[in-house]
Amino acid sequence: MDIDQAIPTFLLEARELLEQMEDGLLQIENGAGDGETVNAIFRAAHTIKGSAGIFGFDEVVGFTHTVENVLDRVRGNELAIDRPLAELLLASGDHIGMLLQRVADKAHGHDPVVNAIGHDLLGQLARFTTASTLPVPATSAAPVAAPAVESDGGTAVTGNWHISLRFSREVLQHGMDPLSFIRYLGSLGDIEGIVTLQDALPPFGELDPEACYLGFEISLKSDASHADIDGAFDFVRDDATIHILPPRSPLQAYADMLTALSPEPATLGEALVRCGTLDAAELERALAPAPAATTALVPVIADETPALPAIIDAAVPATSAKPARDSGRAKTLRVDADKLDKLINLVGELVIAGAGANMIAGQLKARRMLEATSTMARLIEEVRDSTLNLRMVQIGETFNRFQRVVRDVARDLGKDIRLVINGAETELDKTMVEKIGDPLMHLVRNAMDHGIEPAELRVARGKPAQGTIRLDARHDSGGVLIEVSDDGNGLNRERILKKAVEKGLVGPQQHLSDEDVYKLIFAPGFSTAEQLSNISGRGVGMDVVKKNIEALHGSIEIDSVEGQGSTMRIRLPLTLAIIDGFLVGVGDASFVIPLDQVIECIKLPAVERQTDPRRDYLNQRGQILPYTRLRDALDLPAGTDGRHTDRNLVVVQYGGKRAGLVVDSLHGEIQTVIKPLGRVFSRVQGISGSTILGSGAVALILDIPRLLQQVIDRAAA
Amino acid sequence: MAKTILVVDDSASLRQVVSIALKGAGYDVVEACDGKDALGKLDGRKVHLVISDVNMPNMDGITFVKEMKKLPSYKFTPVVMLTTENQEAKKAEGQAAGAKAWMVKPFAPAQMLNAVSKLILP
Amino acid sequence: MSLDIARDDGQIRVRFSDELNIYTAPAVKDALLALPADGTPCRLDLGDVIEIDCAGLQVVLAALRSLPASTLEACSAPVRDCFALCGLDALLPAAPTSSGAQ
Repeated sequence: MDIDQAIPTFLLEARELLEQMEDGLLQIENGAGDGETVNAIFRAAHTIKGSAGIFGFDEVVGFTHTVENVLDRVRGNELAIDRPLAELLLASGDHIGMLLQRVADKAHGHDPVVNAIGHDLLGQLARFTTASTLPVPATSAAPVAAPAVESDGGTAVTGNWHISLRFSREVLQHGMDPLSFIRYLGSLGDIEGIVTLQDALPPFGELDPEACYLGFEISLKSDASHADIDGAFDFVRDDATIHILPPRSPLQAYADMLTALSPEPATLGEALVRCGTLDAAELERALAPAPAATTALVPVIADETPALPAIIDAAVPATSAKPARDSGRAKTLRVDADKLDKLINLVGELVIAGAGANMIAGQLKARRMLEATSTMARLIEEVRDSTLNLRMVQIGETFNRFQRVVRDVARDLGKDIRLVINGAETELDKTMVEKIGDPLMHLVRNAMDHGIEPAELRVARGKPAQGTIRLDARHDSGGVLIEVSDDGNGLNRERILKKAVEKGLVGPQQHLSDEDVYKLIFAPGFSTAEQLSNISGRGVGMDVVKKNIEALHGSIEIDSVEGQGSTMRIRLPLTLAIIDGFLVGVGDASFVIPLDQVIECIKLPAVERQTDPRRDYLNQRGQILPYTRLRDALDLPAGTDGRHTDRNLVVVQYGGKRAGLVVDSLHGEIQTVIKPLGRVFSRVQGISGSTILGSGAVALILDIPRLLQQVIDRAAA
Repeated sequence: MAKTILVVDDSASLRQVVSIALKGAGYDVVEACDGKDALGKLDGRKVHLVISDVNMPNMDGITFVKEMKKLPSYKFTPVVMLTTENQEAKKAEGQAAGAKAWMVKPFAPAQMLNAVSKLILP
Repeated sequence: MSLDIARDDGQIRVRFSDELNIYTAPAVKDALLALPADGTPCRLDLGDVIEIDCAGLQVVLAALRSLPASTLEACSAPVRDCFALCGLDALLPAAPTSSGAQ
């Protein structure tokens, strides 16, 4: 196996470990950590070092080694993590992150800046690696000698698959020769080690020559997939016990296999050592009894937390989030995101093909066929839901990133602010989780900078000196609701209005509700801060936040009570892969408008249809509504049937603007699976994607924001 | 020494495709058009594998396997049964008769070769 | 399958030929079991075996384990392949003294 293939996995894993390390350090800094927290931090550093070693990333190994040494002394109670040390370890974590980034960038040679930082940090760490008052015990050298895999759990070093085979006594009589399957495995890769187990062979006199007594433990070097390797045994499944462990499986997996196969796992384990899958030390660690106990404890903790929301609220959130994450990891399978996307795409096709089959069955009036296709349709729907579910990830990791942000920013601002996280376990689409980070960051920084008052002012107002920022997430009416709230100033209505009038956004006499006033801060270029700080308010404003959220088909609203604080409420759909749409027709073509952008549909008044030259706005209940014929906007051929052409007007909205789109026919709501546009359409303005209808026909998804802008620009011209 | 495979199917074209693929991969092939014909081919020659259809005139595949299992020199010969999807009952009967390996028709020649190579290499 | 059993020089030499598989393994077992269990060294000559399967391998392994002082003498190419496949090279005699019947 080409080891480079595994580098992305390594980077992902190492970054997760760094996050855990950071979480742990922040907990300790807040006085919330315990011995297990220290162990977790140590393990993170240890594992990063160990796996970096396999790849030969010496810079990472060297630096992390020193960090690990310091942490080992903390673990041995020789050293306590105080503020300066926490600071140093956090900085060291950042540096490891930088070194990992160099690996990711395939950077060669030495970067003087990185080197200087590393050198400086190593110098500072050196003060902690040797105790100044106590004689140095041998323990600081211990981790050097210890192998690079941690004692509880960890993974095997082997890059080979391990295949364990036991056959039924009858397998030979069924015409199956176990040796054939092993030969076939040899065609999938190189059998680098094999042990033939003869312990089941009876004394010669009792041997049934037609029965099978042999077992095999095989170490296979192969790039083949699990399915390919497993497929070797398709014909012998009923006649064999087969265990297949991928390269670098958790040691626990080997232990589980050994225990399942033999009453004396240790003896059988020697066969694994002989065939090269494990080394003796790994076997010993795998079979050590300790890990089972710790893993058993974890779910108990995880189960308790949801029942005690009050406690979570008060406690440091990372403690509640982390055990859940750790316990999840053991049963987690890492899958390439591209593979997942491909699967979702295929399921999308399946939905369409299923609808097509159902339609044909309907046309043929074949009752039993219809029954069969609707059963299939139901199953397909379930498959689709489960598949989409695969993309769902917890928002907790994103939330937890803010612990560090809040800590650092609060220090820069000279404010005392704590972050309280709720609903870290709320799941949403992976893409959303990735894209919501930046807007959240902006909102959190805004809240800290403009929301939370200086301590003196807070005390004067009778509030606790420490400010509180909350991040909450929960599922709400088919979507996800994320709230960023603070207990600070609240929005100042008068100041916003004054500014808006200055900027010409509203007239001085206009009467606006609080809600409408608050919305003004989303206007481009609006900023109420009288003094720009380096925390927020640097050009990118709330308008960008709003735009980013709307790009995710989400919305944001504000709740605020002056003097008591404000809440930014973000609503997001659960997924981007499927949208509720509204199907319309122009001539023979079908188009989908995202349902949340449709306000209403009206009949286009006959007078408007006949007006020539065509006007491009109409008076709707006293308001000017600009509109365009979709036929014109997309350069479609002119309608031939005058009676049915351009009969309907769909009023759409986006970003607070409204416009009308004139179409021939309305077909109602549909759920559509969004497919990326082919190259042909990628340059067509006004189209954002495509979908396939049950009939097999293609429908294009309209890019409403762009069309809307076109209509408005034209109306203004 | 090339391994010999007995291909039993009433469809001449299927036999032909399978034969071409197997011979191309280096196996020797003996063809039979039904169970009875196949039993006749088990005349003492070495047969390393049997690939047999289930539904055939004169003698079906499962009866053939049962008969073959009675012949001392052939009773341990591996069999790959070819089946179409809706033959679960047949499959159960065939497995009871000792035919453990099943392949669903239609299949690509490469698929078939891959399956055969799990049981015997040429 | 034929078995040729000869005694000379205070040892027994068993020469296997043709196929050593599930069809012939029972006969092999019976023949080997009939050998006197008096501690006479026994040499198994597999030089003329043209085919060996799991059942054949198994009967040889069982014999090596239970017959006193038994060793493999010559091995044909198919036998060598089979032992190598199963990681049992250590049981093979140092060099092939017979090329096998292939």
